[in-house]
Amino acid sequence: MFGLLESGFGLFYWGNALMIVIGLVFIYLAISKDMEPLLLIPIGFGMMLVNLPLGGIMDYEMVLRAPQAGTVMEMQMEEGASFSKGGVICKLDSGEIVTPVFGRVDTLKISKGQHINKGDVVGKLITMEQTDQSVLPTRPIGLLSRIFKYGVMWQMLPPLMFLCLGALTDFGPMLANPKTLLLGAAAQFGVYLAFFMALLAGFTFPEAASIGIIGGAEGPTTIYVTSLLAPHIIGATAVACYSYMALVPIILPPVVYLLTTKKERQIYMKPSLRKVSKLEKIIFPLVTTIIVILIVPSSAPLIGCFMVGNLFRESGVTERLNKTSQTTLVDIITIFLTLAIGASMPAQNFLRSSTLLILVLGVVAFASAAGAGVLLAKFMNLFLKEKINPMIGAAGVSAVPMSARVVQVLGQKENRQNFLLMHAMGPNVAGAIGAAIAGGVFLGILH
Amino acid sequence: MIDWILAIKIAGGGFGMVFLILVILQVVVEVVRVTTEKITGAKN
Amino acid sequence: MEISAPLPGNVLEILVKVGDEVKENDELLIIEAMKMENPIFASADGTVKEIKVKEKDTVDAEQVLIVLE
Repeated sequence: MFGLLESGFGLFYWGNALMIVIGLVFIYLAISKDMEPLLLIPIGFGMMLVNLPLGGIMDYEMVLRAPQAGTVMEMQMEEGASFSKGGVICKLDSGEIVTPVFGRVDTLKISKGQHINKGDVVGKLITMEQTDQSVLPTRPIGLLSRIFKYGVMWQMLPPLMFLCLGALTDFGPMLANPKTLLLGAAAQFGVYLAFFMALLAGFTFPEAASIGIIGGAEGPTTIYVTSLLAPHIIGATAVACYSYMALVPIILPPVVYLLTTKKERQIYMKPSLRKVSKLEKIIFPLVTTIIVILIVPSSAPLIGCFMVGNLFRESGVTERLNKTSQTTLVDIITIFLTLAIGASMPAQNFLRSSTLLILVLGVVAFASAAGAGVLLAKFMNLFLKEKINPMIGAAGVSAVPMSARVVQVLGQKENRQNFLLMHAMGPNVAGAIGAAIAGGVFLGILH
Repeated sequence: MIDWILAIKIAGGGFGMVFLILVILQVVVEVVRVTTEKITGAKN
Repeated sequence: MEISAPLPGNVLEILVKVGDEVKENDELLIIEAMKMENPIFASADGTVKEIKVKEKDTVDAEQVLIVLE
């Protein structure tokens, strides 16, 4: 407008349009299909926001320094120019200076004919890319990039989310039937299978671990691990994890049908679980914290928060903290976390062939996790006097409580008098603990 | 080139570790149940 | 014959009244647990003799809900 205001049209490309459509599909699914609306609405909206060019909401500022000394022969870009990764900024007599990220030029400090030394400031770039901060430090200057950096990259929001989940989780069904802890452990097989397949597909170790952890079916764990190991793929792993959690009713049944016979699916489980005393429920978070963190120290932020949240719930004297964690706090964190995750998906970042691969590996992780749970349950039945319905093993895919509900529906399809919901909650919450530990182990080795 | 030895160590060790910890937790839960039942005298 | 709660939860809706004749696998009431609506079905044919809970009641597993005759 009169040269005073730059509109976004000049920088808008087909990728942005595609991402906006995907964001709108998320919002549509949330509103009219009621699929995880609390997650998909803010994620979809964040995706839309970040793909409207020049909004600046996810911008980072980066000072570019000369990689080598030389004399500037020719400038290839001017201030305000936008570029993709590897774009040539200027030609030196000793080579070229290229951009390490995608983005646009804010200011340039060099001009033609000038001699520069290695490490001299070339200029200031604006980018939306998640860079490795030890190599290419950036400073967030947008609303959501600040939330992303100080909330996600500084590992604040995912562990706090875990605290709220702790307050929301009743370990009762698991304590009543401790065998179900094994089913939650077995389901972590999906994590390691996907890890191997990701390596085969050409991902690095830290990337493969972040992809594998999708199989834990635990949103905050996935975000936490990826933010520490492979921040450049965080949009893809988070979206894979959250969308497959929403798709559990579609992913789980075929796996269950493939691995069980009709007779096994009809196994009846008695309704009443043992009554778990209040004392047991208080002791559980305490001993779990001590044991798990002593063995895997790097799981401390996740397990520590999970268990303190659970203690708020069970202690009986912190009702205010419990109530806040279950309602207000979890909502506030969800808003920040999901908006920031949505905004980590500018088209330039997200529309890569690796994203597609990550989405495929994510399904493999979920399906094999469910399969491993079912198979271990069948194996345990060889020794158990009172047989368990092997379908509850599939609930070891945590996605609390979605997968337990799916098992309940499948169970009632075979026998209307069979109620597996509470039995499936055991492996379900055990799966959440297992995922957090698996994440901690990856971090302990690779970070 | 992928370091397959490392990959197997991470995957095998990691899965083993997760399993081990959850087995330990299972035992602890059983022990806690038995002792609390003894202390409170309640038999559930 | 007694119909008892197969899982703990809240009674969301009672679909029969005293004197109704029901067949096996008819829906009797709905219990909400884990934010999920769980229909409870009759385990045999009979007549509703007594309803021991009201809507919005919290019930434990194995608590008797309805007596059939």
